[in-house]
Amino acid sequence: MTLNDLPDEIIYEIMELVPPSDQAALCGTSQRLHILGVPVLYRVVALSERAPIEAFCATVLSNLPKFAELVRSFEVIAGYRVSSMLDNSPALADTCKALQRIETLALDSFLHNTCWRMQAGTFPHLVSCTLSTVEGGRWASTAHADRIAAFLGRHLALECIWIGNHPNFEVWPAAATRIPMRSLRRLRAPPKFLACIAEARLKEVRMEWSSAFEQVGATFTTLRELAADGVPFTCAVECWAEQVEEIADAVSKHMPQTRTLHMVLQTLQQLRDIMPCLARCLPSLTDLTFLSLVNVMPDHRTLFSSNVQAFQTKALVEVCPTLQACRFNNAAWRKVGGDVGGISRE
Amino acid sequence: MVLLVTSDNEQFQTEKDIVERSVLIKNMLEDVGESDQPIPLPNVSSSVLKKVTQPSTGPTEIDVRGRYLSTASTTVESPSRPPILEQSQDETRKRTTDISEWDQKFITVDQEMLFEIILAANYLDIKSLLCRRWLQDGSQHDQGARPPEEIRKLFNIVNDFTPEEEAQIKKENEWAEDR
Repeated sequence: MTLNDLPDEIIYEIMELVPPSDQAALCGTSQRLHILGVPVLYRVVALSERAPIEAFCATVLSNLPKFAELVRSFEVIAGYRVSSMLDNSPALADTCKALQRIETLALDSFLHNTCWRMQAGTFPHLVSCTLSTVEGGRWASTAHADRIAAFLGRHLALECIWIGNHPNFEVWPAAATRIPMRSLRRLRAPPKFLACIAEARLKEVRMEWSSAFEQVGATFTTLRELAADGVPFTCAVECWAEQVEEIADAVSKHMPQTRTLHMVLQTLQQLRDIMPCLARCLPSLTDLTFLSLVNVMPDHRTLFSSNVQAFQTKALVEVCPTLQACRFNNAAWRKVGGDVGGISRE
Repeated sequence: MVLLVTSDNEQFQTEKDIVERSVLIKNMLEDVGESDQPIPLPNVSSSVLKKVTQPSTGPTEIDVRGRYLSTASTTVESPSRPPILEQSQDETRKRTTDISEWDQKFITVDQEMLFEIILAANYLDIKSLLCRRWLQDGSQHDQGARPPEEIRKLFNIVNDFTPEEEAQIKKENEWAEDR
């Protein structure tokens, strides 16, 4: 018995398990493996280096629509250097636009021009997408906001949107009317963006407060309106230094159904200061199960000893009986039995 | 204990929790209920069943297998785990490496047996990493990407491409070569 004696479905399963380089090699061995393997090889494409990205674009664009229609997920996370080399050529955006069966599209936030060009496209099956708010090296303009609004208007079935964060998001409320995104469940966006959508039933939101000018109260009022009823909610916020307490208060006031709360803090002092504030806010969060507090700077993450963390976890569990686990930077604590057990992982 | 009968008419007394890793047998047991009747496995030979149900003999291997089984249950539970606890994901990854080391030791069977086992695992519906990783590890011993010629040699695959087709396919899929 050899590999060739295995039935198609097992070959197919094996193809799905091996890494892409082996998928490509298996596709190159025989006609049968090529027929079975190519749909697997092209289904999920995630690239990060310049040469493979350019080779992929060349293959897709010179064989339209043969390979393009096999792709269901396309991800290019290349970092600043590679992105800026790729971004002046239209090839990558043209490739994206050719992927008409795509469900997930993720582009590096440094691929500004590519995102801008891609946003002219229409993808009938798209459920998850990243968008950039930067256009041609300039910060968001009204024209860009209109283009994103038009893109969203053509993709009302989107369930997950990730908008690259940008401090200058001022144009939004003026440019966009509220778009009815009824399918939207997950949103990662600047807080101001919330005002652009309507009718969503969010179960997860990730907001980065990049400037103290963002209005906390108004944002959370909108969020409450957009959040799904009766669904465990995940709320992740990256807090501007002065607004930590205001944000924590707003979560407890407007989003009491929050199940997972993840706060990213900018200064050392915040992690200390936030404790009394959490002790005040947590009792209102009737479903809170997981709490995570993380400093944005990696070297700030070793501040507290595990004793202090255990003590703090205990204090928080006392005021919030539903809480099951706490994460402080690099350590996590979880409740064992009725008590706070010492399970910490580095 | 459950009594299994293989295609070559050998009988096996096997622990219930081990045979229940097979979804096929688990469903059978649920349908039939507790009984002393042997379960026939017409598509599985005794040598293969031994490999599938009793993979470990030495004490160290049992230890590793215990970890393997616990990982399997962790995977089932993972959706309810907190998404914010990134450490636990690292932990899972670490354990996955353990499995692969164990699998590698375990898959030192000849290729004939390897494919028999894969077929049996598929028939028995054992949805574990174990069975499905065999081929992966078999083709990936030195981590580096293998060219098609080497995979052909390894798995005895006949090249039925014309040279032009082969060159064309190599060019088309070039983007995936180093990933």
